[in-house]
Amino acid sequence: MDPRESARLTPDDPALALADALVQRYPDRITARIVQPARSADFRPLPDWLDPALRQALGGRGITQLYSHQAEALALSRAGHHVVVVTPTASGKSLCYHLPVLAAVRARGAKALYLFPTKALAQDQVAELNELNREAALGVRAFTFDGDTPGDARQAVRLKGDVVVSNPDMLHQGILPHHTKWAQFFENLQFVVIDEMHSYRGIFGSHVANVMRRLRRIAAFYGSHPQFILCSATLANPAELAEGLIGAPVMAVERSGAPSGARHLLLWNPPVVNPDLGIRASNRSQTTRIARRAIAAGLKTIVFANSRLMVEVLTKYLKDAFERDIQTRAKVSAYRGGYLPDERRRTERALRADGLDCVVTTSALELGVDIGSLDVCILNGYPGSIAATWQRLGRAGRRGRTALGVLVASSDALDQYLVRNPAFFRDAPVEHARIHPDQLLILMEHLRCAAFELPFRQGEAFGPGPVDEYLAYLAESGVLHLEADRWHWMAEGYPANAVSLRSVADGNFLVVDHSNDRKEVIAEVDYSAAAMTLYEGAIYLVQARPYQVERLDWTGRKAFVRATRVDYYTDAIDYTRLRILDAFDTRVDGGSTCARGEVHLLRRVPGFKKIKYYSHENVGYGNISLPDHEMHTSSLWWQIDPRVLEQTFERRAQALDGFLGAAHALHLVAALRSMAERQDLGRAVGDGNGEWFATVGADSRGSARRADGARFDPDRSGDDFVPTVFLYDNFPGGAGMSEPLYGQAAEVVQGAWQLVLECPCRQGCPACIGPILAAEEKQAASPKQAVIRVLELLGARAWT
Amino acid sequence: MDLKQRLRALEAASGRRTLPDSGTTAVSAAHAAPHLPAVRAAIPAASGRSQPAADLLATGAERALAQRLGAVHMAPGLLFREVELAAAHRHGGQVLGEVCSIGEQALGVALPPPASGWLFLDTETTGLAGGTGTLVFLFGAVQVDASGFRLRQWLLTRFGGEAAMLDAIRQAFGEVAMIVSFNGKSFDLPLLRTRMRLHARALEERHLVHLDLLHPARSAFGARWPDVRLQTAEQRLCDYRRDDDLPGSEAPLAFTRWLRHGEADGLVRVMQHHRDDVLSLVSLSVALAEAYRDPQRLGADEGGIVRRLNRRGYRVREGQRQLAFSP
Repeated sequence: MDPRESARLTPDDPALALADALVQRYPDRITARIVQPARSADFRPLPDWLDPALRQALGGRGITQLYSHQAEALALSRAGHHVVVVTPTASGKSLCYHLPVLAAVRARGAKALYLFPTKALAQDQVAELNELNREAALGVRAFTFDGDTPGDARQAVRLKGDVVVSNPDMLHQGILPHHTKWAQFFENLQFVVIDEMHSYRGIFGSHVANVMRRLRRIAAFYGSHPQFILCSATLANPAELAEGLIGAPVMAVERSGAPSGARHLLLWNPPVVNPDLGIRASNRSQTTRIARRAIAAGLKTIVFANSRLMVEVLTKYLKDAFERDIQTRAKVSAYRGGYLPDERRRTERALRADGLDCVVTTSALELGVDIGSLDVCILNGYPGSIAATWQRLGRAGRRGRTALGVLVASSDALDQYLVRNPAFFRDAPVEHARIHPDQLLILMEHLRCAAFELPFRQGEAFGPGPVDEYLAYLAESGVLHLEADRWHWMAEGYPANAVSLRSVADGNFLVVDHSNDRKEVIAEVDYSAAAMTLYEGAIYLVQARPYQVERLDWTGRKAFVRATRVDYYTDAIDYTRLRILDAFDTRVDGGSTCARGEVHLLRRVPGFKKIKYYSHENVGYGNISLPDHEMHTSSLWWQIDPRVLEQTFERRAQALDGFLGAAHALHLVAALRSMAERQDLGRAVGDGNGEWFATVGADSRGSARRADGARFDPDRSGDDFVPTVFLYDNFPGGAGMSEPLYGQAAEVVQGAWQLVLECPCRQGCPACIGPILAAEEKQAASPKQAVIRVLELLGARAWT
Repeated sequence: MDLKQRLRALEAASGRRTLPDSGTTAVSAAHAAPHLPAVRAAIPAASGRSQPAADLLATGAERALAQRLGAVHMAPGLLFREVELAAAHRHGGQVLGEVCSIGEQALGVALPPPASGWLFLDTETTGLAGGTGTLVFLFGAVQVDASGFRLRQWLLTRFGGEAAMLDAIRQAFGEVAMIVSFNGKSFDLPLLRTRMRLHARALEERHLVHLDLLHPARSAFGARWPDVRLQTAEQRLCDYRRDDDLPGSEAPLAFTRWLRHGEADGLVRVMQHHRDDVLSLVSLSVALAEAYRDPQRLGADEGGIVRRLNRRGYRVREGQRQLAFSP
């Protein structure tokens, strides 16, 4: 669109008018207004090789030319490259893979495998393919194949499907171990499509990368070497992630040629109600207020909440406000997982047909599902990644009109950090999606699966190189048998069933709800997280709904819980000691050192605190008796020269507070950059030799203990005092999250410093330096100042 | 730390329960290997089936095993044992020869004449889970044709013998017009197809009638018995009791112990167990055909039989003294 045209439209542009009005009325709540100007379409002609029937099918849907990114993806894929396409929501990305695939199916009987992270997305794509198919009788057969595919239909999918649409879990457990039944399919497999690639990161992504190794190995057995087409939301490293996932060079298409209307994003921070404690008004009330204004202005609005419970609460508030109002009669509806499919389809139709004024939803509406165009998108809390934020915001926007997005921050520390740093939304993406396919435990699991699928030849590579050493280990444990030059599977089991793509190993705990006399598994918890979350007395939250753990069967790997209603949550007291085993890289900068390497971790969980919601008061304690947990993992750490510390802090205890708070802030910033779940990236403060470690004690002050649990007073200890902040992978053997942060350590420190410095609290608050609350009012140096000093010693600079 | 220590530590830290070392799980040693009954063992002469080269390549343990089983080396890693059986050979309450007169439409399946070749087959595998990692290490059958009854068993002593075994199976399938199995439609045949595909072979089976005894047995006795397993059926219908039988579930372990430690006793017992299985298929065919003709006498569920026959297009009604059916 011509920018002048956009300017001309302004007077009749109600979303823009609303944005202006909000900025005028609430200047102190809006921390930034980010404007993306309207962009006109960049068209390219349809490529010559596209056959007439495909042209006709496209024509039938009103498509006579392609956007530049589509044309670019088609050309690269045509030239035989693996391609990753990074594009915003609603930019026609699916044509980037449908067209090469449909052309190959028609021209040479090719088969294609599409992988989506969820079943709902898979169904949507089959529907889209079928529509294209009908436009010009293309004769291409597309089927979903997942856990819902009935047994008698599976044979037909295997034999007749040209395009099989599935998910990585099904490929892992249902297709690869039975590849002979899919022989025809694999013999002609020419394309593998991986959509929503950014969801394959961390542990899940590392598993999926190994599933892709297995897939390529099986395809090669049938003489096929499929080409990959991947699509992703915006990331800092899309090509790197794609290459890690498929184990081959990938060309990235990153510039979208799709048109878009102007987009205004307001970052909204609820007002502070208690400045000392840094407590803010709830974002729920703010969200409701903004939504009411938008609906009243006649703007079609979507509200995203991060839990199902919050969807219901917000829906009730908005319905209460509107549906009794005879004058407006605005229609508000909720949409989330757990509703019946019919009900969801009804809501989707109503949205498309303008029969609804507002929908309140979870991530269920983040992707794929067609709901037509909307004007305003309100996010009640940060969805956990910037990529997901943009995907949700992309739901609003129609031709020739401004779309308005509002991110309403919760009191969560990360939300607070983001709304104070608009650069995250304005500048180049900072989120690096990381995977670690050679993580030893994950690799071993998939070597078992791969050996079951097909014997390994001696010297055969899996991933970067030969794996005989690992296979020999499996042979020694009786799983494989080496005969002549082959490693044969010789165990009884079906190894894929023992491997969940969503966790490191098979020691997972099941969370069993035994309320109402029926036993229902409501969640699965990774072994390494179990001690911290499933102790007896713990409040375990599922979708914000509290369950109390009544019994933990450690050997049986089960926690029995009951639904409950409490106004507190529980937080395990974590005595984690880390000992540096080996530093792989070290950088010394003035008085501080940053390094990465291998550490030994020993965790004891002696008890837990009950913490009241909102006020964060301690309202009780409980004891926990569980075995110690030990592991080796990778870590990033920072230390400060003891002499520099002595010069900077009067007392070592202050320095310790500074380190504890700095750890909190560093952790937040690092998790954001590495797109890690916060519990997957651990943090700890100690001395680096496992001699002592520091935690926030029961009195909400930093305190240190020795290995035997005895108090350690740093000011009375004559030893060298070398406090160390660790950020480590909370998985045995590491998971590839902390190590790459070494390269971004300076940005992480700088970000943490900014986070703390810019926080409006006085003494330090949960949002910036974590739960060090009991600041001594009279004391000149607050914990917050200690944290700032520590971060400055670690290299944060005021002038950057 | 070397890889092994590292993995042990990681597995412990991740809560992984390490697989039991299958090699050290004891097979009850109380069972000494039984001597196979020396039924007119007709070891084929070196001409034709046995390959002297294969025998020369065999290890000492393989030769000793072959000798204990009365088998020959057909190819490196593949033992073959063939025993001719008299039509009068009794297995439980039936004699083998009776199977030739069970009737053309017995059990609601149109049977080709016995002289065109019938194969009563069964497999022993390294697991029940299915999938490409499950190996058929023993295939065997009672083959019935104009020349009489032969018990034939092919046993792997190494993975390397599999291709030759699969070729032997293809050949055996080519020699007959019908295969008879117990649950073969869901288990043995899919597995054989998988193994064939892995070795770039195909199982030619279009010319074959497949009589899977599980289904007629289930129709007739599913409502009467606690379960419809082969051993339940042979006990109840054929009055056959096995002495000192190796439970089928221990067969994978026996093969593992042979591969890893060269222990032959388990395999010898698997061969015996498997021989009983295929002979029971013959007796069970006779007994089931009888139950279909005269349900009341053998305590069969007449309603279930009639429903199966009707489903298969036979016109039969309940309450007749004896069921006489024709298509």
